[in-house]
Amino acid sequence: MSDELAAALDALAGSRNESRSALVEVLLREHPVVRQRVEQDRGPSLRQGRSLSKVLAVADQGKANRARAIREGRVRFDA
Amino acid sequence: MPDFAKRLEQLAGRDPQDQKYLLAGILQEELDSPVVVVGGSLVQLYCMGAITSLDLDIVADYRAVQRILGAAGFLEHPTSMWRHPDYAPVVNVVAASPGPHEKVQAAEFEGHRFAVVSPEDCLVDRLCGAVHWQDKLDWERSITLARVLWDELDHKRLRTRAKQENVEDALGELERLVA
Repeated sequence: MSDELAAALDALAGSRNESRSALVEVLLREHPVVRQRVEQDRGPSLRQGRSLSKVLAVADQGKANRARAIREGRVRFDA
Repeated sequence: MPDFAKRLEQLAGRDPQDQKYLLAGILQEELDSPVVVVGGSLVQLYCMGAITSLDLDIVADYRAVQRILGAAGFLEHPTSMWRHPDYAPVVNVVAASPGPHEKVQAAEFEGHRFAVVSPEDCLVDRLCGAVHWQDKLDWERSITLARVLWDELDHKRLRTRAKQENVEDALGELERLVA
């Protein structure tokens, strides 16, 4: 999210006594035009319209990161 | 053990995404009842950065969280959300207890223990967003989560949970994409 958009959202959220993320949730769900703009400004991991191959490539990087983090003992998941 | 506010100093200078899980663990060490990480923050933890999330979504005893975070300088917003002026995470208590069919298990981040819902429940939750809210981002998160965890999932339980939440068709499509 750009600094400009973040500042605008913070100002609006403050006037509504809400957090930025709560406001973004409402905007994303209820206002398609705002949603499109917000998602254009978000990082590539959250951008719509990405090809499946790109999504899978990012996921494969995450899988490698996960394996390394578990191997190094940084994270652990117990069934 | 130092008090909660003192232990929060571990968050200083850390990556904002890491701060979430450190905070979950420190909060768990303070509470007798479980702190269960759920939602987008859990997707991120399972996928180790392939997906990012702004908030730390937890299922926890609202009153206990309110008491501890409030005393440590967190400011409460409506809808059970807290933020500390010095730290990045927005803590969002989404419920007091997990759903009746959800399985809770243990997780650990850099030595800090807390609870999480199972990978199957986490995936079905994203599929619900994709199907029932028509949320394309949740569909993308579903694909990512499935790709990362496919070999580790309990597929029998995953199908059962998908059926319970009326997302079995989406699960079938997901399987064709990532399996």
